[in-house]
Amino acid sequence: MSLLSQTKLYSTQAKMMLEDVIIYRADVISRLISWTSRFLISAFLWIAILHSNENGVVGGYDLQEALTYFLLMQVVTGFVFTSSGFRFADDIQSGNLSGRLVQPLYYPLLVISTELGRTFFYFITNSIICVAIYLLFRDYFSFHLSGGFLVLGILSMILAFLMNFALNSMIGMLAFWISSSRRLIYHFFAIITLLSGVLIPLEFFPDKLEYALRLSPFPYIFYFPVHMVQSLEWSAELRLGLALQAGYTFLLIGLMALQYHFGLKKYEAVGR
Amino acid sequence: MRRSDVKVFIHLLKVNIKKTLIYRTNFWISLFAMALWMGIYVIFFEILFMHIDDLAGWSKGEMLIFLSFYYFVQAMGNVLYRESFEIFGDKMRQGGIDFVLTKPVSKQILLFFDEIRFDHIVDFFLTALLFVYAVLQTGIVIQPGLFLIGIVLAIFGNILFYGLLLLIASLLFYVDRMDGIGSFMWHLSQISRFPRQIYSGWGKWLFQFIFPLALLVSLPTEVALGHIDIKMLFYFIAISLLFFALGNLSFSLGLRRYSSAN
Amino acid sequence: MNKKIIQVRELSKNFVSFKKGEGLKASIKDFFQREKVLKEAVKKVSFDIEEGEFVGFLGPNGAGKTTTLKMLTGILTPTSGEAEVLGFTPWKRKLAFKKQFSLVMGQKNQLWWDLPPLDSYELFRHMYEIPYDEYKKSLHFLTDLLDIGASLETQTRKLSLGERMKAELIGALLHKPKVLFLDEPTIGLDVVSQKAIREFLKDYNRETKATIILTSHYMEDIKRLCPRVLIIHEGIILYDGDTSMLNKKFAQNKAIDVNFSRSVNKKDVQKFGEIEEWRELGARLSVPRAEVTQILARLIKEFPIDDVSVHEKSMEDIVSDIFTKKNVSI
Repeated sequence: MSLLSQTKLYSTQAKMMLEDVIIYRADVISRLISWTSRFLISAFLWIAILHSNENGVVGGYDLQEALTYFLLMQVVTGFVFTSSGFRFADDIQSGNLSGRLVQPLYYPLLVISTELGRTFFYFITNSIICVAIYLLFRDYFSFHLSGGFLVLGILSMILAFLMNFALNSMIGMLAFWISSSRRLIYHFFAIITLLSGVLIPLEFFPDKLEYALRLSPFPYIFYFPVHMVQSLEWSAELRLGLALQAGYTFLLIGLMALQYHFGLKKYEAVGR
Repeated sequence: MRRSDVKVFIHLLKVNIKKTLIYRTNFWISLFAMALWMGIYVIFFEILFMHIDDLAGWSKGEMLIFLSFYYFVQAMGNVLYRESFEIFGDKMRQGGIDFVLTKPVSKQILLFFDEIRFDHIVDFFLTALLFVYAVLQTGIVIQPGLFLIGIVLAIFGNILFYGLLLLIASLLFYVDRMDGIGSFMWHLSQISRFPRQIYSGWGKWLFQFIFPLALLVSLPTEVALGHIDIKMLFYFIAISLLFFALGNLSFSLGLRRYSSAN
Repeated sequence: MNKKIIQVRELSKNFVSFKKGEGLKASIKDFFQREKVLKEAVKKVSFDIEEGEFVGFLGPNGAGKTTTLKMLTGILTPTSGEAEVLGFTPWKRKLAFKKQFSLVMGQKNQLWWDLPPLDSYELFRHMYEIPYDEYKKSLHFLTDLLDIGASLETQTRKLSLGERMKAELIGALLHKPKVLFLDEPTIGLDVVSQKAIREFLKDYNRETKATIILTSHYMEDIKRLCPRVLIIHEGIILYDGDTSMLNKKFAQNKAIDVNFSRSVNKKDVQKFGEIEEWRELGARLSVPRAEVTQILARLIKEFPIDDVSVHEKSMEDIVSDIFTKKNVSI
């Protein structure tokens, strides 16, 4: 299959997923309310946290910085979040994967193009909500966005999406060997909720723990893209972070492809 | 509730226990999952309280006790009805509630109490451990009487949440599809994850009086800790029963619109 | 004349769905402004069924038979019209009504998937408040009739399709319903299982005098079980009467099978009737019922015929013709 045909195939898949996501209005509206409520809860929580200290600064964050962090986190999670693990697990367990194996395509690419369709929608709608919140409550936020860091931020988000996709898929692909991989994905969500800065910025962690975390892949899934967008200086720390993020992305994608290769051998042997 | 409904419910308890014993690995997976989530939030509060002394008037120990009450309320739902509500949308889309409508038993028992998850019994055990940890950490003295009232109020919290879930489930009779319903329910429940005092201004009115989810865990914990606001207490009981009634009404109305599946 | 158990008057059911345009632009447009599509699934049907009758509902996919069944069991509320089953309005879903009927759907199961059928039967026992002795007696009677003893202790998901359907039927009949609604009970079953289910239903209807309404695609089900059939198509009842009278009512034509002793010109044979099948030394013609004798005489006179036979069209062909509105008087 030529590169052009392949591009058309996977982009059509992404487009179809996007159509699928917006076909049911109640679905869209309930998701929008869910995400908005998530930010609202964070906002109220962090207002209460910041008000508990007389000087209005906690963990190095003042109120505006904290709310900006969580608003950006909302946008980033909309882009980076994926349910690829569930797709892999369900298709493997049900045997639906067999139908895909006889088609002229590479199944992981099909899954990623499906996820991109979803991601595009969630990113756009999340961003619209966040812009609306910013416009309504401008005084509570302090954005310092520059063109260069915005572009780097988007690059970082793409890498983060790929990392998250790879990790999720690898857990989902455990379905080649075990029956309960689906539930392990929820455990993964729990871990990254804390360790990737979704619940609390990394600066709040004790120094040694923060240092160790920054060497792991977790902060590069959510925390780092947020940090990149809000950066003012192209520091050594940022350069190292981006390099680490890129490195982890390539490593995890490679591991994912390898796991798929071995998993398929097992799948065919079992004869599902 | 009729005698046959009670007997059916007891039988559902028995068959679900049997199911739990058949799929034993679910028990360990549930234990690990709950321990992980609980651990995440304990760590969150431990880290947070390295930087602050109190959160909206709640000390670290009180927050950990709050957390144990949160998981206690959640555990009740996890065992009794959460799974049933999560799969309700799919069931409805596939015509899976057809048979329920033809049976001479309470529809809610067959729809929302057929997937009782006894593997989540471990949640209560972990919640108790967390509670003990919190009490030992902080040296707070809990009066047994007030603690029991707190437990009773936690049950009312579940009644309120169940009523709200019925209201949300009823929406499914009016729309084609709402796949995000499980996620929607989970996000709403997060409103109750933190004390009601964090919600200020219009947030206070929204989450304490209109959608009083902020009271779900707060009120029971406040009473258990000896901070009693009698007016709020009575209001909480009344609103729980009101939401339960509203949920039932909306569900009955929704059933009239049911259009099955091919 | 027996008591009327089911009375239906001008029952209708409409469904509203939404058009989905093709492509992303159309999807975005549809999000904000959708076009409604009204489907009239059942259009003013009326019929009566007496106690003890075994009635078949025949129709292609989307004809309205399952929708009608669902209205009669209270699953759906009709758009208009009235119906009474055992003296109750079904969609009011009264408890006393639900205790007197049963519904079995071939494509769905109501037994617990991960547990043996016996556990589900215990649940039904409590549901229908069946006294223990009566429950045991019914279970024994049904198990014998269906010959499915040991399987009831196996998890439902491990049973074969045939065994599962038998187990479903037992569960549906434990409380001795006065009316049994069956929606395609033999679908997907092998020939042996289909036969077993049919034999059982026939015996059950005869022994208990339960009223049975059966919907099916399979002509064999209708032919073997239902002295009376309602043919429904595009929401309208096209026929309500004796199954054996279908030919007389609908088949305007008969089939003449001829074998020739030598080759003949097809065009010459075509003058006598529509050629349904053409062989090297034979043909099957469809000729108007009233002209059979005349055409037969002319064929024998004009062609070198070895053998000839006349038959009624098969019920399958008649029903197929009804649905495609071919050569039938509706």
